[in-house]
Amino acid sequence: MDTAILAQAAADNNEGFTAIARGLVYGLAAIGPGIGIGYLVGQTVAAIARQPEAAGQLRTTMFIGIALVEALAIFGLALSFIVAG
Amino acid sequence: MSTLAAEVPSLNNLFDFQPFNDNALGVTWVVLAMAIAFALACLTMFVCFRKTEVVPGRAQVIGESIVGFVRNNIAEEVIGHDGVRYVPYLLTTFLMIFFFNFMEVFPGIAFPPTSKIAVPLFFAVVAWLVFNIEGIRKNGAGTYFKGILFPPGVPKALYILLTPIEFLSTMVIRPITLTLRLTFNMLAGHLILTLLTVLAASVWAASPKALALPPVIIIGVLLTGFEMFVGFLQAFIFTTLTALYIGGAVHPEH
Repeated sequence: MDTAILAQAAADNNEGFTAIARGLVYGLAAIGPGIGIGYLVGQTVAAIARQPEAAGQLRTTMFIGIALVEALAIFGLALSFIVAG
Repeated sequence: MSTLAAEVPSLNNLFDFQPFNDNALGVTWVVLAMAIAFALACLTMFVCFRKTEVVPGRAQVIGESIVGFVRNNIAEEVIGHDGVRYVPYLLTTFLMIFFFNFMEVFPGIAFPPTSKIAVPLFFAVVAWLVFNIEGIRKNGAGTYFKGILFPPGVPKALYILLTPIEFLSTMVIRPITLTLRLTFNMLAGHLILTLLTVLAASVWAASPKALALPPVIIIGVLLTGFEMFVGFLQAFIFTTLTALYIGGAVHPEH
């Protein structure tokens, strides 16, 4: 197919592509943090089950870790608002 | 479906507020929400500590548990024993962010001022100033910046790579992540609650006996509770990270 036609079609569907791009930006950015937070919380649960008296300290450390990992997903959400047509 | 989607207000309408009656001070809905949150925070502390006694009454127990939470779970656990010094600052940050977040589910307001980026940015700038000034004051400027820029126990050649990264992550990335985390958590929460409310209203408008109505309302109520939890959690995380940064600045190489 001719690239000029493709470009024309892309320009016509710009708004739709922007919507898809927004969804993709956030969706892709959420994959890594999703895995990361799952692993983090799972390990903390295992650690608390093994040593319940350390629960307080583990929980605080877990929240700090979650906050750091979550920042990546939040950047994705921020970028999805910035992506413009 | 298209009629439902058309009624959802655009993002600009959700987060841009015009001053009431074009008043000279520029008081908007956000300022009103912030004023109410501030009054609530002051009122809580005033009611809790109006008459302090050795054997605490009911209100005083609540107040002491709030202060004790910040003191024991945040300041002493993260910074260490000299963390008690920073309890007033950390408590102020925690309470104000908590009540700002709480405005998200407050009846009649339903807008968290922390979802406007200026508010978290202000808290983050204050946190940045506090941890830098405290680091310089405790260790002296030379030791403090040496600890940040040249972390010990690394081969000398790596400093070419490590020093710019450390500088960026400490001086630039930290306040940015503090700001964005709080802003976008509250923004996403506000969006979700608004979308569910609009959805419930339009399903009701379509037909009050619709089968979809009870699930939508139940999910909305549950999410309101969840957003209260998120508001508390974000205040806790913001304060904990501030304490962590202060701790890292006050005692370098832990």
